Amino acid sequence: MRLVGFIVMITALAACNGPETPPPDAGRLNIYTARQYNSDQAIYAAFEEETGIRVRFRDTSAPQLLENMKAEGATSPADIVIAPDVGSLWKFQEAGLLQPVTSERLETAIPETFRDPDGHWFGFARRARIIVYDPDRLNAEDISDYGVLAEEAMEGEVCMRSSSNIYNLSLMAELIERWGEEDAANWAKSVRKNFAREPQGGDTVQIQSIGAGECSIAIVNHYYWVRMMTSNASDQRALAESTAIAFPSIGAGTHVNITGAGVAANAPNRDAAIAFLEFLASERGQTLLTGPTKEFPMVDGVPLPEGLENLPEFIASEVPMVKLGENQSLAQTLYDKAGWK
Amino acid sequence: MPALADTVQHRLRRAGANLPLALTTLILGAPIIGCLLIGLIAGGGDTWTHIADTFLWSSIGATLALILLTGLFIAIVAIPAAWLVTMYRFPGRDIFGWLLILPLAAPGYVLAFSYSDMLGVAGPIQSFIREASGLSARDYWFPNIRSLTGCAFVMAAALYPYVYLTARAAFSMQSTSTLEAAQLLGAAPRARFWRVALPAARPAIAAGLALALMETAADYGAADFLGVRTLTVSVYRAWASFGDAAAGARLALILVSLTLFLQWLERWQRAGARRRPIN
Repeated sequence: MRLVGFIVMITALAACNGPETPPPDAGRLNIYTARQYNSDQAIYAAFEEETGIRVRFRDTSAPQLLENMKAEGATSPADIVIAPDVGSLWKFQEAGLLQPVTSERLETAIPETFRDPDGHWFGFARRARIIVYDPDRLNAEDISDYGVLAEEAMEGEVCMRSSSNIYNLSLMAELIERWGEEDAANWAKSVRKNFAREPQGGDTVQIQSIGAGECSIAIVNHYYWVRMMTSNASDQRALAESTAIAFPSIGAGTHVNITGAGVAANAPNRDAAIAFLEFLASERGQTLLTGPTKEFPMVDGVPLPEGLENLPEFIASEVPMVKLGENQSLAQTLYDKAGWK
Repeated sequence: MPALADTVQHRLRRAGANLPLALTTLILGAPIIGCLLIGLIAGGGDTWTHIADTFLWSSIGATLALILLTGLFIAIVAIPAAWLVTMYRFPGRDIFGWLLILPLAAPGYVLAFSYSDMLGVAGPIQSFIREASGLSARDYWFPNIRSLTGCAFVMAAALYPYVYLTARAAFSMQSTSTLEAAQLLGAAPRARFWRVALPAARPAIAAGLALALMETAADYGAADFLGVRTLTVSVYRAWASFGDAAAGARLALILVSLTLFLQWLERWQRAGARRRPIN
């Protein structure tokens, strides 16, 4: 009997969550997103409300979406591809799954470095890959670049996540571009030697490990640290508060990646897709996109999400995003050769 | 003539009955057939050479070590638990009887997540140790859950019920008169377990263990989360990082052979049991 009651309750709940009266049908939009954030649903809802276009989405990992789209071919329902890393977008482009788009609004809103020259994809939020360290063990003035993690003095001090993680791959892709293949390979080898432990966990785990004293330096995306600093959980906040961050400032500066999106090659709803991209570049779209995730907005004049206002000004690398894509496989090869799991 | 017609009819009927079976086999076997085709025909190339040079052997080693350790952990937990629940009366025995099956409902990945949150360096237990002792994370030793041993522990915690269930069924179906005969002939309780009950239950235990270890070999979530570079993790990397499905398929074929080996091992166990019947 209790089971029956439970089923009735679930059904009732499901009914509450079901689609309410749909807006006047002004078309449809199918989004394939590799950004697995629930908060993104607020963007879709706002877009539906403004345009009357009904949004459906599929969210899963980028490699999976890529294979899905390849298999679906010309019959793919996807109109838009969103990915939290330019390396992923580049793979979609290489596979011929994105189409070039020209839009004056997008081109004026988004700086050239952060979009594909032909309009296959555009960046809508920036993510800085920064250094986190233990201020009790390391001096701020010694931490000026990614190269620091490869120094002999850092033996047993470095925490890192797996090299197959796309953020690490894109970082390496940039270092190859900056320093050349040989120096980048040596960097990976030296960092690997300095590991306090084998790579494990995501970026948050690296920050926690420094907070707990397991190691004293790591590389993470800025928003993981900001989210911990603004977390409601006091233990998480305390761990983050015992660490400090540094934006690499030597040479090209801080490696910046994007959350980007492009129009699918066989998009059934091309106009709606372009309208969605333009919405992402609007102030409302930017705020909804970056507010919960603590990424940097791409468009000038959009207010910073809470928690980012205290971060220092930094030099953002201007290595073209395209290069980050081209070097992906080489990056993994160098990591593997260095024995970086 | 009627005989011939009968035969034809019979054959047709048999073929008709076999058709769904053939279709099902084809559908279920498709991933393996696909791996064979892609891996053997399109395999090779730069990615494969790179994998063979770097992480091929360490991945095979990690998977084998994970299987061995998980098997050991499962045997240590599941067999005694099944024996105690079947053979002894103690308060709460009935509750234990089914509580011990519950972990079957928890996927390895979820267990990996909770154990590493709980036992990790920033988790409640280690935080408490540091607060209470004033030490830093480097000043004391604590078992590392994000390791091969940790992963084996998690997989064993998730999969031991397979062996627990088969062993319990085997123990409870054993004729008590055999055990009583052993007792009358002067066998101590320990000897009755090791020399009578356990050998008789061996085929059942081997079957459960084979199932559990095949799942261990096939697990991706827990191994990846705990940072253990098994074959499954490497299959994913070949595909996700290098975009080379063929190299991934080759790695998957190694995994398939490993599973076949486990199955063969289990059959061999059963055959052995038939050759040496228990009197």
